[in-house]
Amino acid sequence: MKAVKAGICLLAVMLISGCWGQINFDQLTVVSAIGLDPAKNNMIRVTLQLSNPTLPVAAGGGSQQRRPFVNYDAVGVTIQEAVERIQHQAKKSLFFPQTKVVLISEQFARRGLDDTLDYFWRETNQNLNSWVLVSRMPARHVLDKAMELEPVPADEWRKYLEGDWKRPLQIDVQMYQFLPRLNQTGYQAVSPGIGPFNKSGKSDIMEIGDTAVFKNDRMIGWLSGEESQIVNWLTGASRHGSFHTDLAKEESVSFNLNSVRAKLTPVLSGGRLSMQVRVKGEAEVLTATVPLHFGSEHAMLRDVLNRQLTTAIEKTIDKVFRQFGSDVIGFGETLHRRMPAEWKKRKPDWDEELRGLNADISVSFEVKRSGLLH
Amino acid sequence: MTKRHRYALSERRREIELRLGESSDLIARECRIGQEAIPALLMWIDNLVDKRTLQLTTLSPLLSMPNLPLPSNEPSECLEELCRSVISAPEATVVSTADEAIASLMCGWTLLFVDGAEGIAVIQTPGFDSRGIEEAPSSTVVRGPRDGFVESLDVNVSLVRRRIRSESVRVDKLVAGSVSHTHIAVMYIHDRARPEMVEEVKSRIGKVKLDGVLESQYIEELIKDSPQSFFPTVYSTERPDDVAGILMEGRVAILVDGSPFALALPCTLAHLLKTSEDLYLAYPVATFIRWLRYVGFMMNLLLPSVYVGTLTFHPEMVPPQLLSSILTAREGVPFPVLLETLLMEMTFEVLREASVRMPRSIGSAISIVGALVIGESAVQAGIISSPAIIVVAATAIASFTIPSISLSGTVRILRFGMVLLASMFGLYGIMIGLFLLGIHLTSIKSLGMPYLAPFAPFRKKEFLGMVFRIPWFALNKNRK
Repeated sequence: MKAVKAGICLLAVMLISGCWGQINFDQLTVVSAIGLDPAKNNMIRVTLQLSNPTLPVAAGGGSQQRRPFVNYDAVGVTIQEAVERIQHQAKKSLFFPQTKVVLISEQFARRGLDDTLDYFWRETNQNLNSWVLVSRMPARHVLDKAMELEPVPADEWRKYLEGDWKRPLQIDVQMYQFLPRLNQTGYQAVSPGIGPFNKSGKSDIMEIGDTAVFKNDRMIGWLSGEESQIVNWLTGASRHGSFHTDLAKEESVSFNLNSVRAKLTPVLSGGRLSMQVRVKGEAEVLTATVPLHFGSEHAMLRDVLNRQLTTAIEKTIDKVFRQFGSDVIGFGETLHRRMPAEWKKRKPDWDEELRGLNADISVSFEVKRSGLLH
Repeated sequence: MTKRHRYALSERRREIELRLGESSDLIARECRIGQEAIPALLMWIDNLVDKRTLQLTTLSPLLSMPNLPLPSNEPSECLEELCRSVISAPEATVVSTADEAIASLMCGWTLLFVDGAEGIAVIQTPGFDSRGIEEAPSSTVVRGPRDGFVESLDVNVSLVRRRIRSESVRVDKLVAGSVSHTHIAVMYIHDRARPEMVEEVKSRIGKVKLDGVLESQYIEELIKDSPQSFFPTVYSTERPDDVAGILMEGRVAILVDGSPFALALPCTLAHLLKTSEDLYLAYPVATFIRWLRYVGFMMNLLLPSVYVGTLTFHPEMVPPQLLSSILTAREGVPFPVLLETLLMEMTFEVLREASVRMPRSIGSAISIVGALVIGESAVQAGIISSPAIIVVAATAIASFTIPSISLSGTVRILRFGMVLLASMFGLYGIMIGLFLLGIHLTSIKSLGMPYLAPFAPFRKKEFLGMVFRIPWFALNKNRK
């Protein structure tokens, strides 16, 4: 009797938990990329890149004769509906938790995302760690035409975006960071862009670079690589980078920048809000088109670098705040942390605040090394 | 019936012969001793007695006194005097009843009757072949003593005694088995082992009601705490140095005649994961190996279930490349993950059992068939996927890191339970299984000691001693 009672209790523990979800492992197909395009009548075209599992080359998988991936697409009112249609085409069970990238086409992003991305908020079987990219041409074409060294392009993109060695010329973002920022006035969403580098007919080489800036759920413009790098420093996402200064006409010096630290401080003086930006770091001369004497011209180099960086940062902040009116630097959140009452007051018309915001920028880089040359 | 005839030799002989059913190996030898030529009778069981010893210690002293007077005229006194001063065997006493005499007879002693004497002299003359001392096959070591216990209790006790030359070593002999009358020795160091512990062990052995005790397992099962538990709460070892260490720790060892496996109490999970070789290796190496063993224990228990559980419920946890290669490897495999794993596990268990039973000479044939046919061909024919083989092989290898055979067997059985839980409930099921296991392990004890002793009722000093092999120099310092 005791054993029966214990058995019932145990069974209850097991069954009540709701941890049910056996997966038909052998029918499983990994969705490596999702593409979102606009379609007629406010519908969405969803493209799924299904990767065919392959043996690693080391295990003799190099000579396999099958397509590494297949793209399926369908149109639906919601993403869910389209995915269900694709399910009928693909037959296999679609496995979302290892999706590498989500591509949103620029056209679609400019139309506004909020209602559709609800899918990613709710769906449990998905990868919130997938990388978000905005594609300059329809996402379906990017997925169809992309040609990379790896058999499945999405794998290559994920590895690139994950890597730390690359120059911070775009602002990488993962789904779990991207989604909440779509509604966050004080820290707006961004996403790196992807597009064909040179069109050569059937397959294209895709380039990841630049940054799409969102204002709420709507994309409003692009930031160039240089500008993305500066935004990366200001948000603290990156600590290094490179910068080219113009020394004289057609003469330039390139610096490698390390240990970049930026500090944003809101300053309130007489009811007027302004932003204090302090950027510090170390610089290393990479290349110069003029002969340099590091000893005597050291101070000059440093001043030129600091002056030109200040201008670049000013321009970037100006573009982001005045032209786009979007707070991708997260200054709103900084204010929220420092002066919560002030933030509450200013939040409703933060756009206006941004446009009128005065930025006081000071840059102090030390030129520490000059490479192998002295 | 006159008094003189009451202990007549022919009657006594008849009595013994009848008790033994006139068994053909009961030998009786009549002789006359002393000047008075009093009839005497020697009885022994052939083959249990060393004839040379018998001749040297009993026969020749008795027969070489035809010209000497008997020590006494009263037969009973004469018998006692014979035992005291004529018979040169190490042990010779006079017992009064036939029952006692027969018990000794069965142990290979020789009975001596003197006409008219009331008592029966029993003379120690046993001698039977015993296996030579060899390396213990169940627990070999790279460094350390290589002698192992044999089937003879006396030899085994001597092997332990030889290692602890202390007056405080105690050997208490008990007899168990209503038919087999197996001798059992309880060994302990009296100023280290707690007396109530020793008493408890003895009383438990005293309660053994069995016809025969042919192996120490008989005793183990009857004296262990929580006998329904799968886990061994009695330690068993084939190594005298292990037993010596156990005695010095203040634990109690039980040696059973006829079995090379000694038992020890109390025994916790940590004891089962320790080997005596840990103490013979350099302390960093020994500590590393001990950790490896803990890992091996967990792997043995959990690896197949984690494989099944992750693949059937949480494939998103598998890194993408690994998932891709598992998916390709599984392509075309006709069985689901669970069935495949169980099949391979069963195959391995069958192979293991077969390799224990089969004659040595065809052992290599089986291992070739096992390795090649099942490993290679099954994968190539696409019946079993290679990840399943890797998992089962890794588990099998891990299972040999557990030093205790009985614990290893327990884990083997629990592993199947874990695989089933994992197949029904995934990692959640594995966690439930581990919880149940934890509840069970904390609830059992071995001779009053909690089974998870230094871990679960946390005792810092012993815990450190279990996790690390404390170097001897550190121990030395503490003693000062």
